[in-house]
Amino acid sequence: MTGPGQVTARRTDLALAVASSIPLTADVRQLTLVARAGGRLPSYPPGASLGLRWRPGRVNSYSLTGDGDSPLAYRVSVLRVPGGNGGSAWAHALREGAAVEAIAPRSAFAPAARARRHLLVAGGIGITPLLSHARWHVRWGNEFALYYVDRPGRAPHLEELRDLCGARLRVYAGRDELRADLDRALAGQPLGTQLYVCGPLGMIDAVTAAARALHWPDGRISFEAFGAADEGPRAPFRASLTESGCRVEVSATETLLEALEREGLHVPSMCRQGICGECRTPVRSGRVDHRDLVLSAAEKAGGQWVMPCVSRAADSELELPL
Amino acid sequence: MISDFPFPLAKEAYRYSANLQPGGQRQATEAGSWGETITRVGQDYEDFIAERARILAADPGRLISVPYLRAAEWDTLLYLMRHLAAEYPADFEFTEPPAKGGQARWTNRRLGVTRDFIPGDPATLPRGQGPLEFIGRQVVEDLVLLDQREGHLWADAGLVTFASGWSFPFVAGMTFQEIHGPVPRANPEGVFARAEAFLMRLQPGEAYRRVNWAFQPGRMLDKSMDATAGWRAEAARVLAASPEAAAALAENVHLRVELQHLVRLETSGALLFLIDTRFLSLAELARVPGWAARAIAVLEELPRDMADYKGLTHLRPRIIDCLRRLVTPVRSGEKI
Repeated sequence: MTGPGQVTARRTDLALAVASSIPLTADVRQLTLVARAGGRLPSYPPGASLGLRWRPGRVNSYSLTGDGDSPLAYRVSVLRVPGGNGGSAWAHALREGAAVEAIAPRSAFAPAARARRHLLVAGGIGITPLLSHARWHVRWGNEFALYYVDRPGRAPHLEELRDLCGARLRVYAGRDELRADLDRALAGQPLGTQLYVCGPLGMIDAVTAAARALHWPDGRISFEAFGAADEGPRAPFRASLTESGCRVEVSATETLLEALEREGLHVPSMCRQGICGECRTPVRSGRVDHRDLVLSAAEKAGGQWVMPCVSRAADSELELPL
Repeated sequence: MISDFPFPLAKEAYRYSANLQPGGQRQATEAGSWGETITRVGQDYEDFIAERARILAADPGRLISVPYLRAAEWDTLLYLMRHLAAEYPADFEFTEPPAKGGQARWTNRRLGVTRDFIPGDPATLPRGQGPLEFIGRQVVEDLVLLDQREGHLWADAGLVTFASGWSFPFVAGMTFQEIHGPVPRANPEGVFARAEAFLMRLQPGEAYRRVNWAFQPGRMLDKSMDATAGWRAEAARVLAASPEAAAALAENVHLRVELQHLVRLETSGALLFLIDTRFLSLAELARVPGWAARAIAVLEELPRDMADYKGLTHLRPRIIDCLRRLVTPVRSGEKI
């Protein structure tokens, strides 16, 4: 897919197919995904996530569990969430051969390169990004330890982790059991250790609070809440153009800028990422959901400008003097 | 070459901005186009490589390697080998390892290099060379590796031999914003804070680019603060040899353009900053009427503090004068 030298600034969509779907535990399935066109998939840093489009306009992100280096397949482990939005049920129903549209790996929970030691704490399905971290540390010979807590018999990837980590892995049957050991571990790490926590919010709060109580600086604590999406939701809205009298419907899968261009309007643009300020466009009325880095807080509150490359309507309509 | 020169002046007035745009896209100019590749291998490739080797031999401190970025160094090597092979297939060939832990093969026909190596294993590279140095000696671009931590980007490693007006050994270990501290006007406007925030959000494999520019007497690549004595002498020599004669000045003073790419390396997650340096003499510049007119307009409008920062305080009027003479047709009998 990213053949040598394939250059694109924004690699977003990947056409994948399910190579296998196997149950890891009663409520977790591992999906193995390959490029429909065959070949190598884009590499990714440890802790990266893959967005799967499970319905038009809806994306669920899952942590990639491999080592990320020149992969021929992506693996994700999906926990079925009863009463969730339906994405995990969709993923569990996928079988070999099914086509899947994905968003190329995005990194939000990477290892700190400069740390002299890495302390990984995982709860339940939160193990998935930290499994990827553990592979990385083993490959590069980094010092690390992994504390993994889950209900007995339910913890996914346990055998794999034992083989990979050996004595660096400690497994706990419950949070209380973890607590005593972890307090000792947090108090005894060498200066320059990085702490990573991934699991349910309650566990993240407990572990990070324990670390802060022992004077760990914030910069040495990384965490990722299980289930957190890395893309803001995109809802469709309408742009009413007062000069030309046009009404432009902006779908959930396109930006306002793309919709305006589709209608033949020329809006100067450069980065298309909400940074350069080139596409700054005045707003006549309607509340803006600002997602750019250009406008100041005061300008955003003022509501007179929009960066159509990333920002959207906060409600159903924006009126623009175009 | 004029036809693929990345002419940097897009407007009649120049101000610092976070002028980042996606990399790898063709950009048309009045004289041709540029921008479809990330790397550049031109006629002058061997000259750049030889000059880099000469500078490294004289000042090995231009290469800075840190153990915690070794994975990023390997990422850099693989990224550049893949791009060189894809962008210049007649000159370079890269064969991926057949399986993880296997041997890759690199062929550089321009320099006569063939190397079998195992990615990640420094013992398979030439003795004493890390991955950054091995590939850095085979590209014309300056390379800086930025580590992202604690909400900032830190320029911790790199191989920079062609810096213009700065010192890589001096800034190594600083944050992106600290490095840009001396740039006038841009910091109060938050340009670099915004640029850093943007770069920190680049996703694996994404590449963005920007151009930077200056004018300089001569065409010394190493215009770094580490080599001030050398280039000052060269600049003085060039200017002395081109008194008021516009023709000599036109040949010897150059527009220096840096085409900079910022790449989020896929596997390590580090940022790779690539700087390609190009020169265009005033005489060549004047062959493209729109460029000369644009350069004159920008130079005339450029505020004093920015001109000072770009080292143009004394050179500016002479460049404007020279360009004017070059683009104005000489009527018979008129004295120049």
